[in-house]
Order: sequence, then C-alpha cells, then structure tokens
Amino acid sequence: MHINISDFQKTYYENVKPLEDGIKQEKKKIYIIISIIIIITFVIIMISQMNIDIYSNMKEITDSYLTIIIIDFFIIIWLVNSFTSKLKNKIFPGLFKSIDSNFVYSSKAKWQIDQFTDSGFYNNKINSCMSEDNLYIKTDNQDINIYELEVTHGQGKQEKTVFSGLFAHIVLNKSFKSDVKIIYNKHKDFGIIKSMFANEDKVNLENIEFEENYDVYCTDQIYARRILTLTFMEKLLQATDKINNRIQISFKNNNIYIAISGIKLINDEALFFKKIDMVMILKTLDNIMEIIEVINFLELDEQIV
Amino acid sequence: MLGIIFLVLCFCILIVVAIYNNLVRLSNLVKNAFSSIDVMLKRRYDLIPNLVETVKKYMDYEESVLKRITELRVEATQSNISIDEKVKIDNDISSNMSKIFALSEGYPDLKADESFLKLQTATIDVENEISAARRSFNSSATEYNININVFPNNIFAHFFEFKEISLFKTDDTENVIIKLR
Repeated sequence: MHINISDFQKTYYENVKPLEDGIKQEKKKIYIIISIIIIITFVIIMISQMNIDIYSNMKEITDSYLTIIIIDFFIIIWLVNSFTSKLKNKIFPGLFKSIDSNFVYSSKAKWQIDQFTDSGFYNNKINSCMSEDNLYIKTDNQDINIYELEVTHGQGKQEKTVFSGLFAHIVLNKSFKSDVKIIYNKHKDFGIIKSMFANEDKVNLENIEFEENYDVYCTDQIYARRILTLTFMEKLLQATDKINNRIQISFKNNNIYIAISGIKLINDEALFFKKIDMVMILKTLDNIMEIIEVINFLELDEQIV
Repeated sequence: MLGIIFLVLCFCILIVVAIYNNLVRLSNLVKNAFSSIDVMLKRRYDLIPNLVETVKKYMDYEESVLKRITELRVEATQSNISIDEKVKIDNDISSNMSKIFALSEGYPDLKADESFLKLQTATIDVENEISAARRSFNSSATEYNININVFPNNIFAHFFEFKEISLFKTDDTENVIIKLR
C-alpha cells in the first residue's frame, strides 16, 4: 500500500480544507477569549496594586495573584485541549480517509493493556499505558491497528517510560508455530528490556549488520530463520535506515506486533499553535507502511503456519 | 604446598570438564541441526516422484530433466553417502527442480493443473524449510568449528577427536525459491 499524494491532495481540498477553514474561525474565538482572560487578570492585578499600602500582607497578595494566574492557566489549557480534541474529531477522520479510503481514525482508542503485554517487548509489570490516537487500516487480508502509545513502569520517582511511540497490531488468520521476537539492541533507555531477554533462546543470524542492530529470540532456531530470511533481514535494515527510528517486531500466535519508538501519529502539542503538519503525518504513515511492506514481503498468509 | 598443588589440579580438571562438556553440547547441536535438514530433505525427495509423474503428462520433450532428477533422488536416498556428497546432490536436485518449474512456463495446461499447483506450493514450503534448517546447521557448525579451533580448546578437541564439520554450502537456495514464485 502506497500513499498517492495527488489523490490525497484532490480529496483534501474538496472535503477536508473547508472543515479546516471552519475550525480556524473557532481558533480565532479562542485566541480572543484567551486575550480577554489575560487582560482581565492584568487589570485585576493592576487595580489591586494601586490599593496596596504598607500595612498590607505581601504574602497574602502574592498568593492571591498566584491563584488567579493558576486558574487562568487551567482555563487556557482546558480551552486549548477542548479545541484540539474538537479539531481531531472533526478534521482527522476525513483527513485520513482522504489519504486512503481504508483508513479509519479515532481520537479515543479502545486500548487494552494486554496487547502490549502480549507482545513480549517488556516482561515486567506495566504501570500505565496511555493511548490517544488510533488508526485502523483494513486491507484485503489484514486488519491493522496503529496506536500512539506511552507505556510506563514503576511508580513515583521510580516511574520510567519503557515505550513511547507507535504500536501496530496486525491480526492474521493463521498462527505462528513459535514466538519470534526481533528486539532492537541499541537501546539507550531500554537497557532493562535487553537484559530481560538474556535467558531466552537467542538466534545467531548470518547478516552481521543485522546482528549489530537487532537481537532475535525464538525457542525454535529453524522456525526463526524461516521468518528471518536473508532478504527479510536486508529489507528490515533498509527500512530502519530510512525511518531512522527504533523498530521492534514480535510474532506471536496469530498476531504481529510492531513497535516504533520516538514517533507520533499526530503532534497534539503543535495542533493549536501551528497548522496541521501534513508533511509529518504523511511521512509517519509512509514509515509505517514501509514496515508493513517488509512484513507483507513474508507472504505470511500463504506460507508460514 | 601439597594443598596448593591439589587445588591447582582440581581447577585444571574442572576446566577440562567444562571444555569437554561445551564441545559435546555444541556437537549435539550440530547433529540435531543436521537431522532437521535430513528430515526436510526426505520430505523433498518424497515430492519428486509425484512431481515427475504430474509433469510427464505434459512435458514429453523434457525427458532428460525428469530422468536426471529421478536419478538424483535415488542417489540421495542411499545411506552410505557423506555430508559433502549429500550437499552436492541436494544442490543438483534444487537446480533441476527450479528448471522444471521454469520450463513449466511454456506449458499452459501444466500450469493450470491443480495437482501441479499443489506440488509447486509444497515445494516452495519445503525449500523454505530446507533453507532455514541449512542456515541453522551452518550457524551451529560455525560456532562448533570456532570452538574446536581456539586455544586451549584445540588441544582437547584433538585429544577427544572432535573433528571440524563442513558447512552446508549451496547455490543460494533462496534465489531458487524466488524463481519458483
């Protein structure tokens, strides 16, 4: 599956652009409200400053100023968030549809923590797993769910992000004989993950460059090599070079899990203050498709059971 | 003094035992990997008679290829052949099988034959299995060969008669599989 830019541009200008222009008006209103809030706060502070005399309690005054500013801050955050969520619900379903009619976007993903646990990328107990954006892709022979995910382990000061990025889940109509895990072995912050796989059966592969980038774990040495053919390894390396992000793949039962670290489907923070970054969205989608193409190369539905 | 000598002796014996056990473990891994290849090669040999019978009906003019592959199958199933001979025969069988599938392109009736299509799928599956098993064997054999050649393992390997194992070299089976597709 490849994204056809000219088709996208056509449907984008016909269907999505008018909605985006409508949303811009709402953005202007929010800017006005925020400006009013700031002005009112400023006026309140100025008036109270004028009434201060030497007998006033400075601490109480500072506290009241701080309270006002914090309340303002929360109101602004709430306004920005509600705008972002409205924008996401109004624009993005159509926007993704205009990229490809098989794309179904949802801003509130029905996420189950079991999916990440089942992937085996992290064997310890997960503390929290947050997901916002979800893209469902239906193709002729596959159902692909892509989640924007942030997974943490531990609590309080010991809380640590174990994964932040895109997590794709592909369901096949056939099961794998053995679980195969392809783990990126140059993790900076995922040192714990690497050490946890030490006791599992590591598969030594003949592609030196691949071995430098990835560790493969499987209880069945031959089966692992059926999936990791020489061509598959080369293609995965090419995809890694192109994407420039850490990729991990897990084949388990009838599922394929793909984790791409440090990548987002939609940059929420920038949605309010900047324009929708279509270039970034298209690039992200293209990267995801690149990995799925590598997986599809295996022709899993036809060959491996 | 005697205590120290005893301790050093115990230490040396422990090292020898550890080296020996490691070599036995690696040797068993290699044997296990080779037996896996053997099982898959047998699956491939079992496909040959059916393939020849199916193809014969359509490809009268390619008798030499069919005859050659049948002869190779007989040679391969003999029990007293070495690994190197087996590898050579296996490579010949691979190239002849891919030749049959390449020639089938010129016979539309054959290409539409259901049993031929089933055999083609089964062959791809077996070839993939063999390719994976061969790579697994080569990986185990390489590790074993390195271990019996490094010092001090080479001394004990020589003493306990652990011999170097030839790798399962082939004419790139993966290319053959791609051609079959």
